[in-house]
Amino acid sequence: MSSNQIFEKKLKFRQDSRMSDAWRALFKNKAAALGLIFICILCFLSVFGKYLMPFDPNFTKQSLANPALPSAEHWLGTDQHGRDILSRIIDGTRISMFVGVVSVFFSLLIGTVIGAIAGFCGGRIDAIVMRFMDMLLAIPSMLLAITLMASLKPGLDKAIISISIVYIPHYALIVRSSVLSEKTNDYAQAYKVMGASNSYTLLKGILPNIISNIIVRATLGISVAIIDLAALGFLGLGVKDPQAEWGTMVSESRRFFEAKPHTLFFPGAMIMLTVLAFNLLGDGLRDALNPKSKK
Amino acid sequence: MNEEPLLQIKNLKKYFVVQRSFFGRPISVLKAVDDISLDIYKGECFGLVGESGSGKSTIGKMITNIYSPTEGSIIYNGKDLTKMKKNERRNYCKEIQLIFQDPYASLNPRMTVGEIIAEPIKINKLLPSSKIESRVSYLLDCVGLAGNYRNRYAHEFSGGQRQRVGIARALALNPKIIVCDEPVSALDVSIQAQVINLLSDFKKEFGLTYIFIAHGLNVVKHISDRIGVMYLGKIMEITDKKTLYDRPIHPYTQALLSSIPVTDPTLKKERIRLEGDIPSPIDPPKGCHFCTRCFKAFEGCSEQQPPLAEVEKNHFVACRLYEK
Amino acid sequence: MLLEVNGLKTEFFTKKGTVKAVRNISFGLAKGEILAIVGESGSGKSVTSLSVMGLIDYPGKIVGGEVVFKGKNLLKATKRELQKIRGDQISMIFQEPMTSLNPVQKIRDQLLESIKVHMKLSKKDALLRAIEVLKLVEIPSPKTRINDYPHQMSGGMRQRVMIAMALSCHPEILIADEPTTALDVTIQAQILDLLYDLRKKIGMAILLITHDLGVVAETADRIIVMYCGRIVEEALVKDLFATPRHPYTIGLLESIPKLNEDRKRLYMIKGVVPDPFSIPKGCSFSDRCEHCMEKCKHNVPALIQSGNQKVRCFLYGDALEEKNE
Repeated sequence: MSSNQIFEKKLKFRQDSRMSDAWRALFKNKAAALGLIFICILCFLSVFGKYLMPFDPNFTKQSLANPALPSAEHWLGTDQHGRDILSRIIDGTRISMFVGVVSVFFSLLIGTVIGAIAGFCGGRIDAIVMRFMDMLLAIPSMLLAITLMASLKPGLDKAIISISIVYIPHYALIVRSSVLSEKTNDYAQAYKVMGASNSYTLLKGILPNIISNIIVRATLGISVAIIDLAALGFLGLGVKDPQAEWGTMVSESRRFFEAKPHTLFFPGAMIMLTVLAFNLLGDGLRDALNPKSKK
Repeated sequence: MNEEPLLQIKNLKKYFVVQRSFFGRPISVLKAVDDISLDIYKGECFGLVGESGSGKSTIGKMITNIYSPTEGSIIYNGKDLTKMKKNERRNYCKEIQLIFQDPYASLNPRMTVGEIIAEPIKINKLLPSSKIESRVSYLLDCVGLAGNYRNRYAHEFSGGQRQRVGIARALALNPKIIVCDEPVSALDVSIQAQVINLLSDFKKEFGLTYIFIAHGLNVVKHISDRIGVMYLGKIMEITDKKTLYDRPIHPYTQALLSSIPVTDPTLKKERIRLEGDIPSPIDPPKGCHFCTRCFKAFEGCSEQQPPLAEVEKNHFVACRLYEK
Repeated sequence: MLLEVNGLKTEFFTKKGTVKAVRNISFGLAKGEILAIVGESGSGKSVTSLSVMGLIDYPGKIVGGEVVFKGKNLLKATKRELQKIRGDQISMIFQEPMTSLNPVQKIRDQLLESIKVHMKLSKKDALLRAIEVLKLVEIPSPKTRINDYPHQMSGGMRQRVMIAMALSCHPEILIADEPTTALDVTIQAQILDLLYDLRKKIGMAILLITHDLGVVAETADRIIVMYCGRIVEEALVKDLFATPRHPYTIGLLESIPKLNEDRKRLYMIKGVVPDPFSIPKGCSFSDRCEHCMEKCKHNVPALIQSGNQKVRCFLYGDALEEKNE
């Protein structure tokens, strides 16, 4: 191959540059790939689940054996009202994924704006905003969520709101510290030399450099939000019965899980696997997006 | 040199608050630049030399809008930049550009080289977007990076090539003054010469005025016309380069010159060995800042700060030895 | 010879391919001598010093040659023996003293640790020795400064402490890897003077790794110029600066602005240091050399004697490097 050809080849290789590099690194990490596949299945279930459910999740089948053990008809058994657990788990997937993604989206959005402004402006604005965030952080997050839920009355939208509020300070802190460390870099100072406005510097200069950090955090954050939703459900503050939700299902099975452990096991396992999948993906993304961990 | 200076620095000060009391009152203050006045003339290259903590980079950063001065004024073309509102000040950025020391940190890692060079043009709306392309190509050509470089990211380049990109970015706005903040100290020796020659070529070609900041005295001497020597936020001596190297009169300049390793073992000269360390700029010595390490210090030195005085034509020194 | 390096080869096995960082290097270090190894980034000068110390980690590996210290091949020594020799007889100091000092430990404890391990002294004697070495490196009021933490000291002071730690066990060789690069000019002069004096006082040999030819000219006795993992020139300092032979050495010397002369333009070596995956096949410098001939592109010249010095260039003879890289 002539040197020119090699150069051309290099160039081509370069054009599908950074993003594909990250993908490749992600798929090399088996645990992260597994997590991603599981999350894809969950997404599929939340969209097309209703066509796949063997039963109506709220259909109650009167029987003395309730909660019934897994059988050929009900693969994962039924709960105390005779509802098919498999169908309810599939139905619950939609809720958990929806709450996880939407609440993270809101807390991320608000947290990023607050953190970026505080970190970039510094001084008094930073001090005031961050002290307020510290105050929010000082309250145990579950306690805060419970208080918010109790005052807002249970419901799906309320759950999203309270989980979002609880995690705003977490994102604000992360974004602020990333902005602070990027801000002192020469390339960020170069924007001042060019005469760029502050908003330009922040949006075009600094944000693209911390976005991978934020993506990683958001991925990990979804799993935390799903746990919190389950915990709220367990405490009876989350989604209302009869709507299927994993935490509520675990909570309802408390009374008879010694005799019929499957009522607790399957929704519990679902929560665990989902959280694990998001965590594995998050860890994988961190390694894949961080140029320092390459080589 | 009787003409009006292009850039005039008057009593410039920059204090950084290191520690504040609970109520926000400053407890300890770092006087990075402490009452400095300078005139820069059109078409010259003014060298600023000093060791770490001397405040040379801070001056460069104040001139280029990165820091705002604590006190004093920076007068460009008769207009005081420090008295301007933020928006107005930004319009003058395109006249005064900066080349950074670290070619690795100064380029946005998420942008291609082409985007980096086009950015200042877009921000200042200097050209319609249809003409930016050709301008970027021209600039890359100027700094010797013609070819398929523009779509690559900065991290794919070597240090010398990145510094060329940094130079192209500074040139993009057609500035009148370029502040070069140690532009070659992070580069390999064989690459340093290339970058220095490039800078001297541009000075002629585009009629630029340089403020060249460095700690390497030999590099400064090669490129500068006049040189200012700084120590702990103060100017110790200013004169043209020939006088400075042939007849330095401030003890610090003499010591500094004699500590540069020379690439000629036959020239084993007597080195003036300075005792001790550079004091912290948070707590500089009273009186002349150099008095704790000065080999010619006498009684009065630690009491009163000597003013920068003209001892002969165009030769300014801040030292009590030469007070009249 | 106190230390002899024969045919040393160190390679790094990275994902992108094998990097031959040090390619068949041989040199000797006599007792009490200051030998400088000069080169730019990627020349392999630091890897050479790390190889001598046996500090090459994965993905790097020493693939050939020997490092003979007092008749013993260090590359074949056990870990135990190597550790003993490393602190005791060969010491090393690095460019950035802050990263090689433990920030949460007092200077005193760090000094005592190395003294106690290697010299088997009682605590009291070790402390006396510690103060003695601090005095040796000219730290003012060592009895009080010994209780400082590293961050309480300036860069120059920290480098002195590093030197003191290296000297604490009477080493016979000190390897100094860019000891003054992070320091200011006036402080650099102090440290260089100190190294020079110490050599005279305690008669140890110094292997000085640097990129600054000025530093070499003022301190070293002998010099090795490296380029892309090979020695391109080896000479006494006075010979090298008077009559540099290799085009690379000549170019380096020419491209440094001199204080005592004025010129309009600096001499430039064209091009850039090749990246380690695309080093030219023949002479590594051939793509940047003004005197490049056809044979330079295909064959590697041997390191041959030319006058008082050794040079690896076809301008001075036709001998070829043996093919054992």
